[in-house]
Amino acid sequence: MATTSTTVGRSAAFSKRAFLTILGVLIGAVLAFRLGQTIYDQVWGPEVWIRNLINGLALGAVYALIALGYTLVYGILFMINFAHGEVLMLGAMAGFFVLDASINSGFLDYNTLLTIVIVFIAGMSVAVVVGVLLERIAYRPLRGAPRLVPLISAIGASIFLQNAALQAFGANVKIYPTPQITGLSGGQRFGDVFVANTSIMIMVLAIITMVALVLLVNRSRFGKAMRAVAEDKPTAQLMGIDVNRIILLTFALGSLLAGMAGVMLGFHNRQVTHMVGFMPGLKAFTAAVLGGIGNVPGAMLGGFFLGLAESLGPTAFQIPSAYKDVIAFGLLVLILIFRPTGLMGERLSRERA
Amino acid sequence: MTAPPLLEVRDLHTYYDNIAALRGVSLTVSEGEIVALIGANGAGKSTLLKSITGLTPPRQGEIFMEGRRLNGVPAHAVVRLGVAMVPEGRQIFGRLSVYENLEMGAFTRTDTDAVQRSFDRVFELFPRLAERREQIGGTLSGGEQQMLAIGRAIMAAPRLLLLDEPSMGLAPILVQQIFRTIREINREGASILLVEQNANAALSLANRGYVLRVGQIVIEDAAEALKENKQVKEAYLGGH
Amino acid sequence: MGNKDGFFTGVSRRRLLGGGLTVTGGVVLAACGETKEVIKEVPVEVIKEVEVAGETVVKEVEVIKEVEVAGETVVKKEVIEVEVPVEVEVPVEVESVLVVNDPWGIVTVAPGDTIKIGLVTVLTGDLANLGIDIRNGAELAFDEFPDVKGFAVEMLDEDGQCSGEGGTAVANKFAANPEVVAVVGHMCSGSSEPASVIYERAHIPMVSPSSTAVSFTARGLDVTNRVCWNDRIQGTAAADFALNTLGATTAAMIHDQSSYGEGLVQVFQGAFEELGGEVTAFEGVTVGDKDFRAVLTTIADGAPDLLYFGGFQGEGALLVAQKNEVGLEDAIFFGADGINSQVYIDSAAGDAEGSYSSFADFGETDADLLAGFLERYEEKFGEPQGPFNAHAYDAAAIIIAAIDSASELAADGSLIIRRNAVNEAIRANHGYQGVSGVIDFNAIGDGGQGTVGFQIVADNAWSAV
Ligand SMILES: Nc1ncnc2c1ncn2[C@@H]1O[C@H](COP(=O)(O)OP(=O)(O)O)[C@@H](O)[C@H]1O
Ligand SMILES: [Mg+2]
Repeated sequence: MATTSTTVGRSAAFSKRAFLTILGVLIGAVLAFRLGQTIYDQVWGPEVWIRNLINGLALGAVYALIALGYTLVYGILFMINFAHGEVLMLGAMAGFFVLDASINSGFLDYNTLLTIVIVFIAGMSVAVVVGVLLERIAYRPLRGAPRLVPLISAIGASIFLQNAALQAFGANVKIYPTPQITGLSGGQRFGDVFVANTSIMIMVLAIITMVALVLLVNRSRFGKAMRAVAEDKPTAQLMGIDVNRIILLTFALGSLLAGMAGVMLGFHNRQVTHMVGFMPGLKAFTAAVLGGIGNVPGAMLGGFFLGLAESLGPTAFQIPSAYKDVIAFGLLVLILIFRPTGLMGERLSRERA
Repeated sequence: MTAPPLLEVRDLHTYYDNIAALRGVSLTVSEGEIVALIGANGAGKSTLLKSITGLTPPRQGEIFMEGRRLNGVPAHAVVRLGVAMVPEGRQIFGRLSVYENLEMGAFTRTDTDAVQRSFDRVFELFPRLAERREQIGGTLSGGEQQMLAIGRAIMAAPRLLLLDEPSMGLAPILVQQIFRTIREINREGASILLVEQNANAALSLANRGYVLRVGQIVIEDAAEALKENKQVKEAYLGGH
Repeated sequence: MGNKDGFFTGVSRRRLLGGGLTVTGGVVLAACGETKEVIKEVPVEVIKEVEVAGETVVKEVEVIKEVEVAGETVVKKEVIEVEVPVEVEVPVEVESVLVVNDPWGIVTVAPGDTIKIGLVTVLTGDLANLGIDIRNGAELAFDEFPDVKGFAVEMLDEDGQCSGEGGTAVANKFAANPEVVAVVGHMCSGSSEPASVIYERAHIPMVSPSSTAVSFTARGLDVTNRVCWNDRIQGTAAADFALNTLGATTAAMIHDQSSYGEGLVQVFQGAFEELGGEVTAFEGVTVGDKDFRAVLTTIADGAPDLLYFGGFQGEGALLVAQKNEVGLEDAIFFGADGINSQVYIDSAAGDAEGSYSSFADFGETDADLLAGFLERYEEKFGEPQGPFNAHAYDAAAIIIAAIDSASELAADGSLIIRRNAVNEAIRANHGYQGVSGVIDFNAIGDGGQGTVGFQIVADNAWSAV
């Protein structure tokens, strides 16, 4: 009996794996064929590829910053902070109001760089406050509850913040008037390729931030404590680590990155509404899963991967750009089917299992 | 004995939800002592250690460390009062390196020179850890993990060290080594409360011992006397 | 009062009506002195209506009752008073008053009640400025034609968003209200189209001031009317302007995936190619997205002279700014009435300079009429914020006039409005002199003749080309 059932189990497992393999090979073959066709037929000039590569890197850098927030929180609490996009939105809003005030007061005119720095600080500070309040009000009271409960609370918080912002700030679009800010307007020309200054700002700032974050997580006392808490909360307490404080600081750190991303998007895309956090939040969540949720390098890889896929995918496979969201979420489905643990998550999940 | 004991537990009751795991446990550990706590599986030994460190706060009773009341002190603050614990099953941080695990042990300490001396001491006690200081904790062998767990506790420079079944799952030769190290640590000034199912080894090491049964202390005596106790012999030393 | 568990409760209203009686559920029996067990109660005849009190009518009804008295069943005839709600949606009830026939049914407005006309624009969100502008135009007409035959006209102001869901929600709400006679709106084609299907079933004529999509009337529904142009006019004129005035020989098409945007761009493409122009790309963008660099990069590969955009101000402002980042800085940005607003210019924060749009110009209009309208508008609401306020005024005025010609006063003093007659009266307007121009409805409900005007952004304002 036992032997029989084992055999059946094995053959079922085998056929599932065979099916997945065949499916994977088929999808891969179709994509490779299409890509080959695009390249062989020289559908696009090289500058299209390069421009979209740069667009993708800038987009990916923003996704990566946001995805880090999801992954840090997931890593430590095993919950998806679905209100993360709204933290970003409120950061972008705060940045807008400070920028607006500095324009109206004339401060911007004689101190551009300082204004930009202050706008970033304002956006990040507000995001941190919102993130910390979220943790205290919406998540901490549910710490011991089944995992679905804080998830629902997070979705509720997200809708609450969206609507609160709508009521408080109105539905009209807020404009970051980038062209009036010297240094952020225009761009640089490299041969045939023009790169917007905001794209350069995003990439440089994001990369510096990510390097700093990796150092913080790997090298600092706080980073190590955070990793210890993520792994084993009771034992971390025995070491003298205040787990609640580390969780709060983790939320603060994730929110700081979201606030930064919000202000970046404000400068880059100029338009801010109460809904600007929604799509980037969803995409960054996808990026975090893509990279292996809970994994810091994974979130960054996932962010860039998704940004590039979105911006190069339509070019590579000759499909309308309107399909970029289809590509993004299609990737999510594929990853969940073929590599549920994400690109960099495998070892960890096995260990935990 | 006029000086107050280092650790004093008075009439401790601890519950999991509404199930009592400890029902009025009283126990002391004096300065410089090694005290063994023996008992069958499920007797409440781990619960007692977790109650002392604040991980499962008691519902009733009192705990004093050097005369200071520990009730209500959050778990992360207990270590600052000189209590370190080697938890059951080692519980090292599997994704942190050996060195980082040891750093976590010294998380609350700020005197870098003193911490460095602790590092040196741990690497002296466990040269294997020195060889593997950059290795990821999860990839260590069982014995190495136990060394790391003990080393990590030493890093806190505790006045009182709580050990929860350090011999569990280890080869006899390793058990001997671990027990030798415990004695070593004790000689250097830390008092020790040692929880063991391996009663024979524990009582050989200890000055005094307690027997815990279903959440209550049933026997308390000098270690030598306990070893000769008929009841103890039957119940806990039978196999040896 | 009385026995609430009598015969009437729980019996369907329709069955009783079918039996020739207008006695309905939720009945209160008035004359019910004795404490007897009523076993059965069958209505026989309505003797008379006793009293009309607000929303209910008290009627005397003869019923046959089976009553248990001291263990015996007694059958007896009795006249009781029944209170029933006034039925508005059921024409049978008023048959006794006046015989009116209309294939779409009628609306009865009781004396003292108002004639209800829906007005559906966009009152919240990115396009609220355009919606409020339209509402203001319509409101002016409601102010100036406040009643029909002594019955006040009431404007039911709703936000249909610029989406199918928003439009459907409002349409369902109106369809469920038997008092709604007609609708001014909706503002966006994407909202009007799904709504029109519901209005068609509910027999509610609509006159849109601004739904210009070809497909809005092309589906041949009875209730779809508009006083603005059909985008076939706008798209064709725009293609001609692009080629012959702006000198563009290659153009890329971008639309916002709405009926309006995509439909307009399709018309433009057809006309542009017919005139000898070349279309290098046809791409959709998602409303709400803020980063269109990828799609613009692909478009830049075709190096078009001009980008033609069918969509609204928000996406337009992003496109006109972001095109400069992907090698399209020399391409002319050309949109339509959807971007013809100050919000577009402000949102683009400087980058809109030199971009063009078509807009609903006032063609063969009576200059004095228009001037008077604009004067009254500005006096009441300030500077107009969009291109369709005059159309909204005309749409409302045409509906009110149509109701006037399709309604009669009944003997009891109520107003009977025939739904189909209203729709026919709307479509019967030929050569109507509106403030937006001459309105001439064709068989599918297109009434706007509008002349297409063109403007360019110069010094942060739309100005004549
Ligand atoms: N987390 C827990 N939840 C509920 N009951 C527990 C928990 N941990 C231990 N117990 C129960 O408490 C009693 C004592 O357990 P424990 O202290 O682990 O015993 P020992 O360490 O002596 O083997 C046992 O009956 C055990 O089942
Ligand atoms: Mg135990």
